Amino acid sequence: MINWQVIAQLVSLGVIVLVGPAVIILLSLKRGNL
Amino acid sequence: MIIAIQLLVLLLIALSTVLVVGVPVVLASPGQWEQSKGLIYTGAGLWTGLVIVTSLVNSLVV
Repeated sequence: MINWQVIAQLVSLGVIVLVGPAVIILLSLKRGNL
Repeated sequence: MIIAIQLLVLLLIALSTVLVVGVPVVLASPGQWEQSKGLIYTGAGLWTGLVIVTSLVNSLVV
């Protein structure tokens, strides 16, 4: 039996952790004001 | 009715994620703000509306 709640929690944590660096990477690609 | 709340919350989370990435990128990219500020204001208005609508629907159910 798969524990879907834990999987959803890990996916949510992954999104939150990755969203911060994504801003930095996008800005560096667009040569923004870092 | 519960499915409506769940969909609204899912929409709110998705829009919040997009705005959390999009707003700082638009603000810090050269020349991008003048081009995209309408989109940002629309997104912010939609987000505010979603919060209010979700709270109203939630108060009808719980």
